[in-house]
Order: sequence, then C-alpha cells, then structure tokens
Amino acid sequence: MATREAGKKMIMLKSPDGMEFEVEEAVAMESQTIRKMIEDDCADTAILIPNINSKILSRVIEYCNKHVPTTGATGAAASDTVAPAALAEDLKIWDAEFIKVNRATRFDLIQAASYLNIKGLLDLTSQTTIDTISDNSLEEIRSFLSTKNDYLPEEEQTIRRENQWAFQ
Amino acid sequence: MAPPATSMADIPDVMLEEIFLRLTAAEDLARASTTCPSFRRVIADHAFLRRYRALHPPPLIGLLQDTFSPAQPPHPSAVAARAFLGFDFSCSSLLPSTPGHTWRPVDFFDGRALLAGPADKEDRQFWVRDLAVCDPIHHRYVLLPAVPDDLKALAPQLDLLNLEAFLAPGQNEDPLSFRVMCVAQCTTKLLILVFYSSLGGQGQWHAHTFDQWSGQATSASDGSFIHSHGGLSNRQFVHGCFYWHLHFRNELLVLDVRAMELSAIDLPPERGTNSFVLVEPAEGMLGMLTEGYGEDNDSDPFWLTYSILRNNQWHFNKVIQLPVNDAALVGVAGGYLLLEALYTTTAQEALKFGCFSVDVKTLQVEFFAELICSTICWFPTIIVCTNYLKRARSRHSLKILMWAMDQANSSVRVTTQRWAAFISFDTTPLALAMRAWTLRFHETVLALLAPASALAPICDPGRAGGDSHASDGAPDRSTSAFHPTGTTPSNSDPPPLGATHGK
Repeated sequence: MATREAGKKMIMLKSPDGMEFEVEEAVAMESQTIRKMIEDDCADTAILIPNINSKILSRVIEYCNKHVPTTGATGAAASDTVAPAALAEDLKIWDAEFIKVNRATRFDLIQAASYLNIKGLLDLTSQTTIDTISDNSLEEIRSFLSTKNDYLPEEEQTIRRENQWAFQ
Repeated sequence: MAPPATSMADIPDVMLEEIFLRLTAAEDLARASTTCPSFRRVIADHAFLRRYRALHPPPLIGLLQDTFSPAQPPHPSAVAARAFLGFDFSCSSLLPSTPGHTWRPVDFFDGRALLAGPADKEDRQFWVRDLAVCDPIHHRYVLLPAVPDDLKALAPQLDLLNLEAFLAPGQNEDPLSFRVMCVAQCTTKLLILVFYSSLGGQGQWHAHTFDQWSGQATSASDGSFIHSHGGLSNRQFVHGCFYWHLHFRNELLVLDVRAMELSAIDLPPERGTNSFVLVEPAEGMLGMLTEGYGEDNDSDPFWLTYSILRNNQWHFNKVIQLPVNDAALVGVAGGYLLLEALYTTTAQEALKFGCFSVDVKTLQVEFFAELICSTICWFPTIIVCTNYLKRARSRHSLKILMWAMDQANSSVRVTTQRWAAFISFDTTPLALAMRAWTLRFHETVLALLAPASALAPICDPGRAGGDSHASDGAPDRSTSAFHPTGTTPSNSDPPPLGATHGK
C-alpha cells in the first residue's frame, strides 16, 4: 500500500451535510458526472455533490472503490494474482451484499447513481425494481414499489384492457 | 437536498426512464405503465418510447394466419409469443362496419395493420376505398381521410399501371406516428401519395411525383415490362428504406423514406432466383440472403447464400446449409428471416410443415414453429411488420400442395384440391374464379404458396387496366435487352398464376 499515494491524484468530495471524502481521482471518475467536471477543469479543490447526503455518498464511494479498474483501494494487488473470471465472480458476490439495503436507501442509491451517472451502480440498483416488475402481479408491484394506484376505476379498466396481452 | 424517496413514484421522471429502459420485455413495460399514472406518463412519452425502441427492437412473436401461430419453445421468441396465444389480431371487430361492409387487411407493419374497405365494383383503387390503420394490441384505430381530388388527378385512371398501398414508419422514426403510402406506377411517372399521421390532428395526404420514373427506372419505351411480370415487386423495408425488385432491370429500386428520394442498386447478375430477402447485418449495412437448392431430386440440400453490399457491389460472404427438405423465404421481422419449410425430425418420420428462423445478425438457424396449414404470411411482431414475398418458385408450392393433400384435415384437403385443379388446368375461367377467391385472404388456405402474384390482387392492376394485359401474359422475352449480358432471370419464372394466357 505504500506505493498507493505515489502518482495518484486525490480529490475531495463534499456532501451537503458538510462531510468531506478524499478519494483517488480514478475512483471519483467512475462517475461520468464527476469525470466531466474534472475534464472541464471545474474541480480544482473540492467538488460539492449537491443532492446526496453523506450516508449515501459514502456508500457510492465504497461502490466506486470496489469497481474502479486495475487496483482499487480494497483490491490492492489482487488483480495480479487472481484470474479475471474469478474476479468478476467476486465482484458479483460483493454487489449482491452491497445491495442488501432497505427500500429507502435503494431509492436514494438509484437517485445518486443517476445523478452521478455511474452506469454499473444504476444497473445494480435498478435490477431489484426490474425484477419486481417482471416477476409480480400488478398489486404486488404496487405494494413492493409503494406506488399508489391513482387511476380512476374506469381509467384503470381502459388501461388494463389495452394492455391485457401483458397480463397473460 | 431532495426529500428522501420512500416510493418509486417519488423518483424523478428522468430516473424512472433509466429504470424502465432496462426492462427488456415489452410486456413488462406495459405492466409497469398500468401500475400508476406517473409511470404511465413516463412510458407513454414519445422521447422515451424512441429511446426504448432503439434499445429493444420489437420481438418477432409468430406468424399470423387465419389464427395466430406463435413461436414455439425452445425458440427465444416463444416467451414473448406466449402472451399472445389466442389474441385476436383481426381488427375487424374494432372498426365501424355495416352489413356487407367488410375490412380487409392490406399490410402489417410496426404493430399496426392497414385495412381497406370494400372495393367498388368498378374500381379497386386504394384511393377511392376507405382506409383504416389499426393497432390491434391497443385496440385503437384511425380512419384515413379520403385522398383529395387534386392528388388523385395526378395519376389519371388510364395511365395507371399498378397501385400498391402499405404502411411506413412515421417521420423521424417516431414510434407513435406512421405513414401510409400509395405507390402508383404510371406509364410516365411514379407517384407516391403519402398520408402523414398527426397526433391529435387529422393527418394529411401529400403527393411526391417522380417524373424520371419511366426513363430511369423502367427504361421500357413502350412500357411493356409492366404487362408481363409487374414492375415493382417484393417490397422490403430495411434501415429507413423501402426496396422493390425491378425484375426487368435486375435492380433494386430504393425509396429513402426520410428524404423521399428514389435511387437504384444493381443486383448480382448470377442470381438465378427471384427469392431473396434484404437484411441489415450491422448498422447501415445491406445484406442479401438468396435461396439455393439442388435441382436433381427431392432430397437435394437446400441452402441460403449470403452476400453483402459494399461500394455498390455485392460480395459473396457465405453459404448457410438448412436442415430442411424444401423451403421458401417468407420475410424478415424482429431481426429474423423466417423460412417456411418441409422437414423431418427423424429419418423415419413423415414430413412436417413449419417455420425456421435465421437470425439476421448471427445467421444462426433455429426451429421456429410447426404449422398446421399455411395461409398468409403477414408477420406480426409485438410491434409488427410484414413482407409479402411473391413466390416465384413453383417447385416449393407444388411440394407443399402435395404435402397438404396428404393431410387428414378436411379444410386443407378441399382447398388444396381446388388449388391442384387450378394448377393442373390453368384455364382462364377457372383462373379468374380462383383469383377472386384468393382475394379473401382470411379464408384462403395456401394462397401464398401459389407462385407469383397470388397475393397481389388487392393491389394488382389486372382489373384497373382491363384486358389489355391478356395478350402478353408470359414474361416478355423481348425485354431481355434490359438485363446485363447473358442473364435472363425471367426465363426461369413461372408465369403469374392469375395471368391469362391469351388462349
């Protein structure tokens, strides 16, 4: 780990509740939004992430750390010795653990992934929602996603009739 | 700081879009839109649907015959097709009708059907008939306004050689809009009347006239090509363009629907058959699959030849062997070419009749569905499209006919016997009787299996042009000057079924 600081540019991310996170530039650049800021030179000292509280931001950084190519902070020299397939498998297991969060946190993570434009994290956080829609009845979808059925009864009837083919 | 989201509905629309774009199955998207109004608003948005369609092309779900024949497992399309078992694609129940006023399907494309009202006794032209566009899946329809008189006048009745109506994608490939095109071949020009749908509005007809048509595309100074095998045939849609086969010039006529411009592409000279389909193997590329078969006996192999167009030249790419006894190309939809085929699964087994699919990108051949009997090859995908391919190969038709006559099913028997009679005798009165009969698409078993123009009647000039065609029903050899040296593809074509032979 001694070499870690050598040549690695660090960057400061600030959450709106005042917390600061020092991360490697490469890690921060997993976010396309931050990458663009850095490339456009709008990020000299610290970057304020306006919509994401420190609890969520720290989780996002944890994700980026794990997923940054080559040697991440936690992976260290792992990629030198472990076969890529095993590494991918390891990542999948890690992801599955990572996403074991309550619903509110998951929605926050979706928002954060979307705002920061981190494709992998968005894929991961959306997957539960995608699975919910694919595998469940309408009532179950509504309950799992806590959406309210605001349709008027006759409106819903029309829409259901139109989409009848999707319910067979 | 945004308030914490506790419900999916609190998530901003842009993020919902990101999530919904990840739903790969169209039925999941439909279910999501039924969940709550805010989901529906996001999903019904044009921009979203455009993005969705670009990522998830509509799946091919099956073949529409009298009834719907869905893709069967283990084909990957079988999952999407399952939702449509027993689904009524006919549209006729949706449309306003009075006794005696029946709507007939003319074309199927991108989830919509084009239907035509009854033809006037005198006049079968599309622009004097009622036209309607239906979305059978969402139970909606639009009745098209009549073509304005000043546009009709652009193609005088006497000058009109052929007329074809079909659906086309909307402008800017917006999935919620569509166009209906009526292509009128006249002796001196090509006229394309286009109906542009408009959201919430009436939509309008516009005319595009191509005066160079005669010289450029037919170069038949006497217009004689039309009288033999039809000018434009085998319409196909690939990557923003419609393509027609111009038999007598061995060319493809290309209509770019964005710019509404015509151009032409040479076909490979050695192509001995009229049966080919165009595919898009990769973005913007044009590929062609042509059928080939051993001539000597029934157990000869059947294959497809694959070529790619580069710098206006067709380059041979590979040969794909097919695990079938005999086959005919049906059309391309949802990323697959469908072939109708006679096949056996084991050597002991009797011949079966069914469909095989060829993935247009990977060229992988897969079993698609077993068919009981075949009528018509429109091609529904969830967002449907179609191609009618004229059958120029009598060998395949006859083999299917023989097969069908062997089947116990009485309706198949009756129908095939009529066809057999027709093919055996081919007399003018019978031909006319059969021809009228084949107009009834939906009741017609094996209609498409007959060679050549069996499907053409609705859009065929035969009646509009009167008997003037009778004198030169056989392919006009005198026009062979239009072929590249040494090729006379028309010679191998059987005459069109409905053609009268000047007996």
